[in-house]
Amino acid sequence: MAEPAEVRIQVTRSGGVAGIRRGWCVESQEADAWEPLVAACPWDAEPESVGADRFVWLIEVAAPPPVRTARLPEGAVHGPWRELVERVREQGEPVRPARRHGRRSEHG
Amino acid sequence: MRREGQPPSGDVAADEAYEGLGSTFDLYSEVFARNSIDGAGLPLRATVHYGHLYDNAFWDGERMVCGDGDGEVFGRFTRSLSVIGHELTHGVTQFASGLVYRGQSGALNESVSDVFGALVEQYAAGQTSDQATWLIGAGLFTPEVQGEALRSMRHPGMAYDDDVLGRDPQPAHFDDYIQTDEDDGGVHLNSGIPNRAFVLVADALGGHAWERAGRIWYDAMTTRLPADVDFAGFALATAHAASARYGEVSAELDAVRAGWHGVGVTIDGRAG
Repeated sequence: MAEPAEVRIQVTRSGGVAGIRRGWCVESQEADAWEPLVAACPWDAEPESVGADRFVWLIEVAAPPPVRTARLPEGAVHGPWRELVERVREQGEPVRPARRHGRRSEHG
Repeated sequence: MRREGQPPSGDVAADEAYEGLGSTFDLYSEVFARNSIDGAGLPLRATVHYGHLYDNAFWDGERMVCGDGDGEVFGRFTRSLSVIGHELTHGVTQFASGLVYRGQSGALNESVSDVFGALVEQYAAGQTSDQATWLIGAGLFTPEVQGEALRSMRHPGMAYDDDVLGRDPQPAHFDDYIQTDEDDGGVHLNSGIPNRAFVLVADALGGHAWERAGRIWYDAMTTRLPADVDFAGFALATAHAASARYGEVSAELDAVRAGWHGVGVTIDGRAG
Protein backbone atom coordinates (compact mmCIF):
# COMPACT_ATOMS: atom_id res chain seq x y z
CA MET A 1 0.00 0.00 0.00
CA ALA A 2 1.34 3.43 -0.97
CA GLU A 3 2.23 5.89 1.77
CA PRO A 4 -0.25 8.77 2.13
CA ALA A 5 1.12 11.90 0.47
CA GLU A 6 2.78 14.35 2.82
CA VAL A 7 1.69 17.12 0.52
CA ARG A 8 -1.68 17.35 -1.17
CA ILE A 9 -2.72 20.74 -2.52
CA GLN A 10 -5.46 21.46 -5.03
CA VAL A 11 -6.15 24.79 -6.73
CA THR A 12 -9.43 25.25 -8.61
CA ARG A 13 -10.29 28.16 -10.86
CA SER A 14 -13.92 29.00 -11.62
CA GLY A 15 -15.67 31.97 -13.21
CA GLY A 16 -14.12 34.13 -15.89
CA VAL A 17 -16.26 35.14 -18.86
CA ALA A 18 -16.32 31.48 -19.94
CA GLY A 19 -17.43 30.20 -16.52
CA ILE A 20 -15.29 27.10 -17.08
CA ARG A 21 -13.88 25.27 -14.06
CA ARG A 22 -10.24 24.17 -14.20
CA GLY A 23 -8.32 22.45 -11.43
CA TRP A 24 -4.75 21.34 -10.69
CA CYS A 25 -3.57 19.09 -7.88
CA VAL A 26 -0.12 18.26 -6.56
CA GLU A 27 0.80 15.28 -4.40
CA SER A 28 4.32 14.95 -3.06
CA GLN A 29 6.40 13.54 -0.22
CA GLU A 30 8.50 16.71 -0.04
CA ALA A 31 6.76 18.55 2.77
CA ASP A 32 9.85 20.67 3.43
CA ALA A 33 9.66 22.14 -0.07
CA TRP A 34 5.98 23.08 0.15
CA GLU A 35 5.46 24.02 3.80
CA PRO A 36 7.12 27.48 3.53
CA LEU A 37 5.04 28.33 0.44
CA VAL A 38 1.83 27.40 2.24
CA ALA A 39 2.81 29.14 5.48
CA ALA A 40 3.62 32.39 3.65
CA CYS A 41 0.02 32.85 2.44
CA PRO A 42 -2.37 35.15 4.36
CA TRP A 43 -5.06 32.52 5.09
CA ASP A 44 -7.23 34.76 7.26
CA ALA A 45 -7.69 37.64 4.80
CA GLU A 46 -11.06 37.91 2.99
CA PRO A 47 -10.43 40.09 -0.05
CA GLU A 48 -13.35 41.52 -2.07
CA SER A 49 -13.73 41.17 -5.83
CA VAL A 50 -14.18 44.20 -8.14
CA GLY A 51 -15.78 44.25 -11.60
CA ALA A 52 -17.20 41.24 -13.45
CA ASP A 53 -15.97 38.07 -15.18
CA ARG A 54 -12.90 37.78 -12.95
CA PHE A 55 -11.66 34.32 -12.04
CA VAL A 56 -12.37 32.92 -8.55
CA TRP A 57 -9.72 30.65 -7.00
CA LEU A 58 -10.27 27.95 -4.40
CA ILE A 59 -7.07 26.87 -2.65
CA GLU A 60 -7.27 23.65 -0.63
CA VAL A 61 -4.41 22.24 1.42
CA ALA A 62 -5.19 18.72 2.68
CA ALA A 63 -1.56 18.18 3.74
CA PRO A 64 0.76 19.17 5.31
CA PRO A 65 -1.51 19.87 8.30
CA PRO A 66 -3.45 21.78 9.34
CA VAL A 67 -6.11 21.51 6.63
CA ARG A 68 -6.61 24.96 5.12
CA THR A 69 -8.99 26.47 2.55
CA ALA A 70 -9.16 29.91 0.97
CA ARG A 71 -11.49 31.38 -1.64
CA LEU A 72 -9.84 34.24 -3.50
CA PRO A 73 -10.85 36.70 -6.19
CA GLU A 74 -8.32 36.80 -9.02
CA GLY A 75 -7.15 40.27 -7.98
CA ALA A 76 -5.94 38.86 -4.64
CA VAL A 77 -3.78 36.17 -6.24
CA HIS A 78 -0.43 37.90 -6.03
CA GLY A 79 2.68 37.57 -3.86
CA PRO A 80 2.74 34.28 -1.91
CA TRP A 81 -0.70 33.22 -3.24
CA ARG A 82 0.50 33.59 -6.81
CA GLU A 83 3.67 31.68 -6.05
CA LEU A 84 1.68 28.80 -4.54
CA VAL A 85 -0.87 28.68 -7.37
CA GLU A 86 1.81 28.79 -10.08
CA ARG A 87 3.82 26.04 -8.40
CA VAL A 88 0.79 23.75 -8.14
CA ARG A 89 -0.08 24.39 -11.80
CA GLU A 90 3.52 23.72 -12.89
CA GLN A 91 4.26 20.67 -10.75
CA GLY A 92 0.78 19.23 -10.30
CA GLU A 93 -1.61 17.45 -12.63
CA PRO A 94 -4.78 18.82 -14.20
CA VAL A 95 -7.91 17.62 -12.42
CA ARG A 96 -10.27 15.90 -14.82
CA PRO A 97 -13.63 17.65 -15.11
CA ALA A 98 -16.24 16.11 -12.84
CA ARG A 99 -19.43 14.89 -14.44
CA ARG A 100 -22.53 16.29 -12.82
CA HIS A 101 -24.75 13.39 -11.85
CA GLY A 102 -28.41 13.10 -12.64
CA ARG A 103 -28.69 16.12 -14.88
CA ARG A 104 -29.67 16.43 -18.51
CA SER A 105 -30.00 12.70 -18.97
CA GLU A 106 -32.71 13.49 -21.53
CA HIS A 107 -29.94 14.50 -23.95
CA GLY A 108 -28.42 11.03 -23.71
CA MET B 1 -3.39 52.43 -28.71
CA ARG B 2 -6.05 53.43 -31.26
CA ARG B 3 -8.18 56.48 -30.49
CA GLU B 4 -11.59 57.40 -31.89
CA GLY B 5 -11.39 58.36 -35.58
CA GLN B 6 -7.89 57.03 -36.13
CA PRO B 7 -7.15 54.54 -38.95
CA PRO B 8 -6.54 50.83 -38.23
CA SER B 9 -3.47 50.25 -36.08
CA GLY B 10 -2.43 46.99 -37.72
CA ASP B 11 -2.66 45.23 -34.32
CA VAL B 12 -5.47 42.69 -34.87
CA ALA B 13 -6.65 42.62 -31.24
CA ALA B 14 -6.60 46.43 -30.93
CA ASP B 15 -8.54 46.84 -34.18
CA GLU B 16 -11.10 44.18 -33.21
CA ALA B 17 -11.59 45.84 -29.82
CA TYR B 18 -11.98 49.25 -31.50
CA GLU B 19 -14.60 47.92 -33.93
CA GLY B 20 -16.38 46.06 -31.13
CA LEU B 21 -16.58 49.14 -28.91
CA GLY B 22 -18.08 50.99 -31.89
CA SER B 23 -20.65 48.28 -32.62
CA THR B 24 -21.68 48.19 -28.96
CA PHE B 25 -21.96 51.98 -28.81
CA ASP B 26 -24.14 51.90 -31.97
CA LEU B 27 -26.65 49.40 -30.54
CA TYR B 28 -27.13 51.35 -27.31
CA SER B 29 -27.20 54.72 -29.09
CA GLU B 30 -29.28 53.93 -32.18
CA VAL B 31 -31.73 51.41 -30.72
CA PHE B 32 -32.07 52.46 -27.08
CA ALA B 33 -31.03 56.15 -27.32
CA ARG B 34 -28.43 55.57 -24.61
CA ASN B 35 -25.32 57.72 -24.92
CA SER B 36 -22.58 55.24 -24.01
CA ILE B 37 -22.56 52.90 -21.02
CA ASP B 38 -23.30 55.56 -18.39
CA GLY B 39 -25.89 57.36 -20.51
CA ALA B 40 -23.69 60.48 -20.42
CA GLY B 41 -21.12 59.87 -23.14
CA LEU B 42 -18.43 58.08 -21.13
CA PRO B 43 -15.53 57.25 -23.51
CA LEU B 44 -15.30 53.47 -24.03
CA ARG B 45 -11.91 52.01 -23.19
CA ALA B 46 -10.27 48.64 -23.64
CA THR B 47 -6.98 46.99 -22.76
CA VAL B 48 -5.78 44.23 -25.08
CA HIS B 49 -2.88 41.72 -24.84
CA TYR B 50 -3.44 41.70 -21.05
CA GLY B 51 -1.10 39.43 -19.06
CA HIS B 52 0.73 36.45 -20.52
CA LEU B 53 -1.30 33.73 -22.27
CA TYR B 54 -4.22 35.10 -20.26
CA ASP B 55 -7.36 33.13 -21.12
CA ASN B 56 -10.11 35.52 -20.12
CA ALA B 57 -11.81 38.84 -20.75
CA PHE B 58 -13.32 40.91 -17.95
CA TRP B 59 -14.78 44.25 -16.91
CA ASP B 60 -12.59 45.91 -14.25
CA GLY B 61 -15.14 48.55 -13.22
CA GLU B 62 -13.83 51.11 -15.71
CA ARG B 63 -12.81 49.29 -18.88
CA MET B 64 -12.87 46.05 -20.83
CA VAL B 65 -9.72 43.94 -20.47
CA CYS B 66 -8.91 41.15 -22.95
CA GLY B 67 -6.24 38.47 -22.94
CA ASP B 68 -4.69 36.76 -25.95
CA GLY B 69 -5.71 33.28 -24.75
CA ASP B 70 -3.45 30.37 -23.88
CA GLY B 71 -3.38 29.08 -27.46
CA GLU B 72 -4.42 25.62 -26.27
CA VAL B 73 -8.05 26.15 -25.26
CA PHE B 74 -8.58 29.80 -26.17
CA GLY B 75 -7.41 32.20 -28.83
CA ARG B 76 -7.64 35.98 -28.41
CA PHE B 77 -10.85 37.18 -26.74
CA THR B 78 -11.38 40.23 -29.00
CA ARG B 79 -12.31 37.83 -31.78
CA SER B 80 -15.89 37.58 -30.52
CA LEU B 81 -18.17 40.60 -30.90
CA SER B 82 -20.71 39.06 -28.51
CA VAL B 83 -18.01 38.88 -25.81
CA ILE B 84 -17.06 42.54 -26.35
CA GLY B 85 -20.75 43.50 -26.09
CA HIS B 86 -21.00 41.28 -23.00
CA GLU B 87 -18.11 43.03 -21.23
CA LEU B 88 -19.32 46.55 -22.00
CA THR B 89 -22.83 45.65 -20.88
CA HIS B 90 -21.33 44.92 -17.45
CA GLY B 91 -20.55 48.63 -17.51
CA VAL B 92 -24.15 49.49 -18.42
CA THR B 93 -25.40 47.29 -15.58
CA GLN B 94 -22.95 48.89 -13.17
CA PHE B 95 -24.39 52.34 -13.92
CA ALA B 96 -28.06 51.34 -14.45
CA SER B 97 -28.90 48.90 -11.65
CA GLY B 98 -25.71 47.70 -9.96
CA LEU B 99 -26.97 44.10 -9.90
CA VAL B 100 -25.08 42.36 -7.08
CA TYR B 101 -22.59 39.89 -8.58
CA ARG B 102 -23.64 36.82 -6.61
CA GLY B 103 -26.41 34.22 -6.72
CA GLN B 104 -29.57 35.03 -8.69
CA SER B 105 -28.91 38.77 -9.08
CA GLY B 106 -25.40 37.85 -10.25
CA ALA B 107 -26.78 35.36 -12.78
CA LEU B 108 -29.12 38.12 -14.03
CA ASN B 109 -26.12 40.47 -14.29
CA GLU B 110 -24.42 37.80 -16.42
CA SER B 111 -27.56 37.11 -18.43
CA VAL B 112 -28.20 40.73 -19.45
CA SER B 113 -24.55 40.88 -20.57
CA ASP B 114 -25.18 37.81 -22.75
CA VAL B 115 -28.50 39.22 -24.02
CA PHE B 116 -27.06 42.56 -25.12
CA GLY B 117 -23.79 40.95 -26.27
CA ALA B 118 -25.85 38.76 -28.60
CA LEU B 119 -27.91 41.76 -29.70
CA VAL B 120 -24.76 43.76 -30.54
CA GLU B 121 -23.77 40.92 -32.86
CA GLN B 122 -27.24 40.54 -34.37
CA TYR B 123 -27.67 44.30 -34.89
CA ALA B 124 -24.29 44.56 -36.63
CA ALA B 125 -25.18 41.62 -38.91
CA GLY B 126 -28.84 42.62 -39.43
CA GLN B 127 -30.05 39.21 -38.25
CA THR B 128 -33.54 38.23 -37.18
CA SER B 129 -34.13 36.02 -34.14
CA ASP B 130 -34.46 32.87 -36.22
CA GLN B 131 -31.30 33.68 -38.23
CA ALA B 132 -29.16 34.32 -35.15
CA THR B 133 -26.93 31.67 -33.58
CA TRP B 134 -27.62 32.92 -30.03
CA LEU B 135 -24.09 31.74 -29.21
CA ILE B 136 -21.83 33.73 -26.90
CA GLY B 137 -18.16 33.66 -27.78
CA ALA B 138 -18.34 31.62 -30.98
CA GLY B 139 -14.87 31.21 -32.49
CA LEU B 140 -12.92 31.71 -29.25
CA PHE B 141 -12.02 28.05 -28.77
CA THR B 142 -9.03 26.65 -30.65
CA PRO B 143 -9.76 23.80 -33.11
CA GLU B 144 -8.54 21.38 -30.39
CA VAL B 145 -11.69 21.94 -28.34
CA GLN B 146 -14.91 20.00 -28.92
CA GLY B 147 -17.32 22.93 -28.78
CA GLU B 148 -18.65 25.87 -30.73
CA ALA B 149 -18.89 28.64 -28.12
CA LEU B 150 -18.78 29.54 -24.41
CA ARG B 151 -22.56 29.44 -24.09
CA SER B 152 -25.68 28.77 -26.09
CA MET B 153 -28.58 31.04 -25.16
CA ARG B 154 -31.03 28.97 -27.20
CA HIS B 155 -29.76 25.63 -25.86
CA PRO B 156 -28.04 26.22 -22.50
CA GLY B 157 -25.80 23.28 -21.62
CA MET B 158 -25.08 22.36 -25.25
CA ALA B 159 -22.25 24.74 -26.20
CA TYR B 160 -19.35 22.32 -25.64
CA ASP B 161 -18.55 18.79 -24.52
CA ASP B 162 -14.81 18.31 -24.30
CA ASP B 163 -12.31 15.95 -22.64
CA VAL B 164 -10.36 18.78 -20.99
CA LEU B 165 -13.18 21.23 -20.27
CA GLY B 166 -15.95 18.77 -19.51
CA ARG B 167 -19.51 19.41 -20.59
CA ASP B 168 -21.20 22.81 -20.69
CA PRO B 169 -22.80 22.89 -17.20
CA GLN B 170 -25.49 25.52 -17.83
CA PRO B 171 -29.06 24.71 -16.74
CA ALA B 172 -31.92 25.68 -19.06
CA HIS B 173 -34.72 25.47 -16.46
CA PHE B 174 -35.19 26.78 -12.92
CA ASP B 175 -35.70 23.21 -11.66
CA ASP B 176 -32.00 22.62 -12.42
CA TYR B 177 -30.69 25.80 -10.70
CA ILE B 178 -27.16 25.09 -9.41
CA GLN B 179 -26.29 25.98 -5.81
CA THR B 180 -22.54 26.48 -5.55
CA ASP B 181 -19.91 28.62 -3.86
CA GLU B 182 -17.77 28.63 -6.99
CA ASP B 183 -18.04 31.26 -9.73
CA ASP B 184 -19.50 33.88 -7.34
CA GLY B 185 -22.41 31.53 -6.66
CA GLY B 186 -22.74 30.11 -10.17
CA VAL B 187 -23.32 33.40 -11.99
CA HIS B 188 -22.00 32.02 -15.31
CA LEU B 189 -23.93 28.77 -14.84
CA ASN B 190 -27.42 29.84 -13.82
CA SER B 191 -27.48 32.67 -16.38
CA GLY B 192 -28.59 29.93 -18.79
CA ILE B 193 -32.09 30.12 -17.29
CA PRO B 194 -32.88 33.82 -17.96
CA ASN B 195 -30.90 33.57 -21.23
CA ARG B 196 -33.31 30.96 -22.52
CA ALA B 197 -36.30 32.97 -21.30
CA PHE B 198 -35.11 35.88 -23.46
CA VAL B 199 -34.72 33.70 -26.56
CA LEU B 200 -38.22 32.27 -26.05
CA VAL B 201 -39.60 35.82 -25.95
CA ALA B 202 -37.57 36.87 -29.00
CA ASP B 203 -38.65 33.78 -30.95
CA ALA B 204 -42.31 34.29 -30.06
CA LEU B 205 -42.24 37.90 -31.25
CA GLY B 206 -40.09 37.18 -34.31
CA GLY B 207 -38.15 39.66 -36.41
CA HIS B 208 -35.23 41.63 -35.00
CA ALA B 209 -34.80 40.71 -31.35
CA TRP B 210 -33.52 44.17 -30.39
CA GLU B 211 -36.77 45.84 -31.48
CA ARG B 212 -39.23 44.43 -28.96
CA ALA B 213 -37.70 41.72 -26.73
CA GLY B 214 -34.52 43.79 -26.38
CA ARG B 215 -36.51 46.95 -25.69
CA ILE B 216 -38.47 45.22 -22.93
CA TRP B 217 -35.29 43.89 -21.29
CA TYR B 218 -33.60 47.29 -21.64
CA ASP B 219 -36.57 49.05 -20.00
CA ALA B 220 -36.58 46.50 -17.16
CA MET B 221 -32.86 46.80 -16.44
CA THR B 222 -32.90 50.61 -16.46
CA THR B 223 -36.10 51.26 -14.50
CA ARG B 224 -35.74 51.10 -10.70
CA LEU B 225 -34.49 47.52 -10.64
CA PRO B 226 -33.38 46.49 -7.11
CA ALA B 227 -29.67 45.54 -7.04
CA ASP B 228 -30.45 42.26 -5.26
CA VAL B 229 -33.43 41.26 -7.45
CA ASP B 230 -34.04 37.53 -7.96
CA PHE B 231 -35.28 35.75 -11.11
CA ALA B 232 -38.97 36.13 -10.18
CA GLY B 233 -38.48 39.83 -9.43
CA PHE B 234 -36.72 40.41 -12.72
CA ALA B 235 -39.41 38.47 -14.58
CA LEU B 236 -41.99 40.74 -12.99
CA ALA B 237 -39.96 43.80 -14.05
CA THR B 238 -39.96 42.60 -17.67
CA ALA B 239 -43.74 42.04 -17.51
CA HIS B 240 -44.22 45.56 -16.17
CA ALA B 241 -41.97 46.90 -18.92
CA ALA B 242 -43.90 45.04 -21.63
CA SER B 243 -47.21 46.23 -20.21
CA ALA B 244 -46.06 49.85 -19.90
CA ARG B 245 -44.75 50.04 -23.46
CA TYR B 246 -47.13 47.76 -25.38
CA GLY B 247 -50.28 47.57 -23.22
CA GLU B 248 -51.89 45.20 -20.76
CA VAL B 249 -53.44 43.26 -23.62
CA SER B 250 -50.57 42.73 -26.00
CA ALA B 251 -48.63 40.03 -27.82
CA GLU B 252 -45.51 41.37 -26.10
CA LEU B 253 -46.82 40.80 -22.57
CA ASP B 254 -48.10 37.35 -23.57
CA ALA B 255 -44.66 36.48 -24.97
CA VAL B 256 -42.89 37.64 -21.79
CA ARG B 257 -45.19 35.58 -19.57
CA ALA B 258 -44.78 32.49 -21.78
CA GLY B 259 -41.00 32.95 -21.95
CA TRP B 260 -40.53 32.91 -18.19
CA HIS B 261 -43.05 30.10 -17.80
CA GLY B 262 -40.96 28.11 -20.28
CA VAL B 263 -37.96 28.15 -17.93
CA GLY B 264 -39.97 27.53 -14.76
CA VAL B 265 -40.04 31.09 -13.39
CA THR B 266 -43.49 32.19 -12.28
CA ILE B 267 -44.65 35.79 -12.61
CA ASP B 268 -47.12 36.51 -9.83
CA GLY B 269 -50.59 38.04 -10.26
CA ARG B 270 -49.43 41.65 -9.98
CA ALA B 271 -47.82 41.56 -13.42
CA GLY B 272 -49.34 43.51 -16.26
